Amino acid sequence: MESIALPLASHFLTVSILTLVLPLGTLIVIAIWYTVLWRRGAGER
Amino acid sequence: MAEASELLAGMPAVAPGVEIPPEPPEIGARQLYLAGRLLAGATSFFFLAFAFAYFYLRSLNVDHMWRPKGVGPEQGYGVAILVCTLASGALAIVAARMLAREQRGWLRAASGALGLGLAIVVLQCLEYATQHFGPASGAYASVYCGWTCFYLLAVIGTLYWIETHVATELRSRRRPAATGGDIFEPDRLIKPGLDAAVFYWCYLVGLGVLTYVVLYLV
Repeated sequence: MESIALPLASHFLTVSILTLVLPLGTLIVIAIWYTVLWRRGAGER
Repeated sequence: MAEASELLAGMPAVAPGVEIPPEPPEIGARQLYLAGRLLAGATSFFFLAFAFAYFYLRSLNVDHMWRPKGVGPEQGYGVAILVCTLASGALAIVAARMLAREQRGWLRAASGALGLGLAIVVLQCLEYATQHFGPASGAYASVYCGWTCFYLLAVIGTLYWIETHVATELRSRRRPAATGGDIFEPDRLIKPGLDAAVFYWCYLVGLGVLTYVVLYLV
């Protein structure tokens, strides 16, 4: 029986990581930035 | 029992005869400071969609249609846009610092930043007019057109924001704003307003560098 090789697994892993890491990474970076701004007293200068 | 909202319906927020004092400009200044940072955060998520689409579609490369042969931006235009972006951002920072030291020449620096910003728009439009592909020429072309188009809109909006401060300063030099309005001494909002606009413009300059690296170099 002829086997069918689907190049799915590697792509699936890559796009899964992208789907998770990019939005969460951005969210974490911006949350840290806002927290730092807030602790420094935003705009009170 | 009647709800409080029903009892208050139709009643004025302030009793007749009570005078509301003008708002101190410090409140507006703080709001402008926060607005610039919130806008930068929101913009990050907006353009994240294009960065995600770029790497997602590139990794999938369905039917090898990620980037067909002949599809690619003009490197010359890309470098010219990048140089104008960086120079405009630098001039905007100079303008904000000059205004902080109360040097009247900040208007020239701000005008230079505006001119270079407009050059970005012109160069990008020229690139659109001369490139040999459209948004339907593969996944890369779609991402490229969408990303640069919305970046251009953000650039135009921010340039308009900076321009309003330049125009307000020119007006206030001829005829200072009245102090008896809603805001006490509204001309004092020019500096925090420009600071917020320059902050956001510098953020967009950084985003422009990222855009260049992803779309032209990677």
